[in-house]
Amino acid sequence: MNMLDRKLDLEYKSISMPHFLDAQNYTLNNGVEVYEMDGGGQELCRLEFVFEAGTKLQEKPLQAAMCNAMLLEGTLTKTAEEIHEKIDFYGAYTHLDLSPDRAVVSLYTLNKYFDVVVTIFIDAIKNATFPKEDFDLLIEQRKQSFVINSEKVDFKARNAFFAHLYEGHSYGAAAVLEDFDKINREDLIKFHDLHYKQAALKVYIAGQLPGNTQELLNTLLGDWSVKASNPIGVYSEKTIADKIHIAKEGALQSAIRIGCVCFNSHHEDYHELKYLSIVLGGYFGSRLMSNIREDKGLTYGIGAMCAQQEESGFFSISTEVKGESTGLALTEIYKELKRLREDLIPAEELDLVKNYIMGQILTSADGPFAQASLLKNMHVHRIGFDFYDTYQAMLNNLDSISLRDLANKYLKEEDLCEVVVGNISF
Amino acid sequence: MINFERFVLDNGLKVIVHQDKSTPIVAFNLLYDVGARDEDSSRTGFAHLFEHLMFGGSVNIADYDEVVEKSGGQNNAFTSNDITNYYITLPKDNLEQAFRLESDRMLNLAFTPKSLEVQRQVVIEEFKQNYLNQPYGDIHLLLRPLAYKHHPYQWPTIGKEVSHIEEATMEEVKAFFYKHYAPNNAILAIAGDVEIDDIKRLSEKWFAPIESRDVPKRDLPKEPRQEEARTLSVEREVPVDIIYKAFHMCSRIDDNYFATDLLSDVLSRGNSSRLYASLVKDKKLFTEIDAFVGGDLDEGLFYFGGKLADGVTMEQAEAGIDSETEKLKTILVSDEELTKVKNKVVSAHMFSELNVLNKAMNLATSELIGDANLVNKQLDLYDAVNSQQIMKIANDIFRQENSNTLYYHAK
Repeated sequence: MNMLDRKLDLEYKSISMPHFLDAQNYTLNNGVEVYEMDGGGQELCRLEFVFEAGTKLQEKPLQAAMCNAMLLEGTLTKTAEEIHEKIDFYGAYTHLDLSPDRAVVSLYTLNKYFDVVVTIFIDAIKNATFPKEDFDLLIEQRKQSFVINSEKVDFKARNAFFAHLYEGHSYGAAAVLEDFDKINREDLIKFHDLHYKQAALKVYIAGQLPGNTQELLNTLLGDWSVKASNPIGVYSEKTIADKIHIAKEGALQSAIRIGCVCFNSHHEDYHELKYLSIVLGGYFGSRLMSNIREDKGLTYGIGAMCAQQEESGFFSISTEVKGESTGLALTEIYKELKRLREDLIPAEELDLVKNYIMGQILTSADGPFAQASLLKNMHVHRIGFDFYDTYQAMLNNLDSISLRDLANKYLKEEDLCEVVVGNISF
Repeated sequence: MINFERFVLDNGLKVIVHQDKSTPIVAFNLLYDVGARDEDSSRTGFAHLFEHLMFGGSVNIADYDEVVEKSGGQNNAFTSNDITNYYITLPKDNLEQAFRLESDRMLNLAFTPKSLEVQRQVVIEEFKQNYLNQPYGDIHLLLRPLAYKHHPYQWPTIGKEVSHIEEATMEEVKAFFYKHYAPNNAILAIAGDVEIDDIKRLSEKWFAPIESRDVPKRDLPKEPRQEEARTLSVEREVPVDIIYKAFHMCSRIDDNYFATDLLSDVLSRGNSSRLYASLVKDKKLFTEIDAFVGGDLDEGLFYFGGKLADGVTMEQAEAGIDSETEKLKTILVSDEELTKVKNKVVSAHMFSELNVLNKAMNLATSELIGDANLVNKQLDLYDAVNSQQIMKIANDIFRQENSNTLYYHAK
């Protein structure tokens, strides 16, 4: 037997795009589009409703969030207890999620109980009555969580950051304590009437699908009153490069956010900028992690991201660092940004990040649930699966010179907003 | 149902292989049978600090993460009081990279002084971020030493105090490695589109040359039966009062574990569970309350933890918890309620099997407990639980003299 040479690097096999399941698509009687992704080794499935009912449509703070959170809390004929008792009894799970752009209401269920559970689920959403007692309880819960979160440097930094980036736009709006006393159940009923009862809605189902889904959904959803999608604005205000420093007495760590307003994936520079954010702080071996965590030990974690929203997008660096080293951390973050602007990314690093991204796509396409999530995320940003046909070629064509140009275009220190919460005496 | 094959190398490494042809991703999960319970009481937090050092380069590979990233993989690790678990998911064509990486760090680490100095700082920042600079972050730092006076579960995995991490030396780090990181103290579970023969060949190639090591038999002090209720009251700069009440219970390996777990589900799984319906919605004593089992491999804790509603006193809140435990001690759980929690266990189990990494982790943990096939048998074990058993366990556990209560007051 040959001696094993452990020092010798093994060949890295190239990673090709995963095979995506075909999404079957049909339209219910009222025009609601349904996408099915059939597959998986278990007799269960996930049903997701994507409503255009995000916070950007609300008239006052907390309206969209409270409405979304109370969708399963009672109808004229069923109490919240009865709804949850049934859903729990059949081993189903529900998940309510809200972003500035949309609300996603999900149901996870065993196929054998699909009919009965889906019937309860849809009835609850459609006919929600927002009982006073449940409303009061939820407000108290949310208010408590808000007060607790307000103690956290990271929470404060995030709110201050988005408030600054999106001044005057709903993406920057965050609730304040008084808002919890101003919202009432009538506000929820109104929002429900406008954005759920009159729905701009898409449906996604994934898993091993029961045979009768189309028929059942038509019965339960086919007469739901639907409306056209809301118009989409564009927010691309230039970020005012303020430095916002908020002291928090006794904080052992400082939360840092640095970034700017960008754009979403319809912009020609989006994917390249996203790639750049990964080089900078998008994976464990990224430059920020290597420098600020693995070399200097100033933090447990630091990251950079380029995220898209329906009407905008942003670039952001975030971390919590040792309080007394806040100044050093800032210096090093700016140093890394400068390096992106001045030096070419070495070929080896360029390839490594490409492989990392391909591996990530592979992981995010693992199984029907994951693929349906991917499809859904692309749909809500108005992109099709064919995006991936060209993505790998785009990735392979990225070159260091244009990436450096891009850093000079978007990541200049004087164009970035900086938020620090914690120790600000540096 | 998870089909798997199992084999053991001559050096004692146990390998479990599950084939799942539906995914391009392979999960490679390596579990070491060492956790915070194996630490010296003056060097707590060591197992977790060591987990960080495992990423600081091994004898032949300077940069672990770089190899994973070039392979298109993702990796992470966690330390609990019982185990330290390392995992990589990567495209199946690059699976051998995982064998190379993990066998090299099992063989020997680089032990660079820089790595120790930096990771010591990183762990201290983790300590601050999660335990000290967070409202309520120190609950388990307070509760564990209240409940355990002898067993090493008296400290959390992050450690008792920052100074233990500050004082760790390279000699101690090396000693810890040779004592616990050995093929005969590890379980490798692989799940994905793999062939058993390939895994056998790769395991022989990369792991078989590592010699087994002298791993001392674990001999931990047993926590004596608690005969007197214990309480601790603290005041902190937090906005809301919280109460925690923890009772000693059986270990994860005990026959009674499944009934105990269902007991916690009756109390607190889902919005229709008892604590929510009674103490949150009906009596309005709490805004949130949970009951859960730790799932520890030695005798563990059954926890209640809740945030008090505005204007409610600690006495009222505790009386609310006690009234629910009293009910379980005297009234049988109905068939319908028992069926409900069992159904939920079945579906949770099925959902967990959608993902290769979950499957690999569950196989490795089950093998550690004694039998990898527990992943398949456990549903039957849950199903066999009856209401009488649950009532008996409630009576065994929910005794005031077995309780450890933390009153966490807002200043």
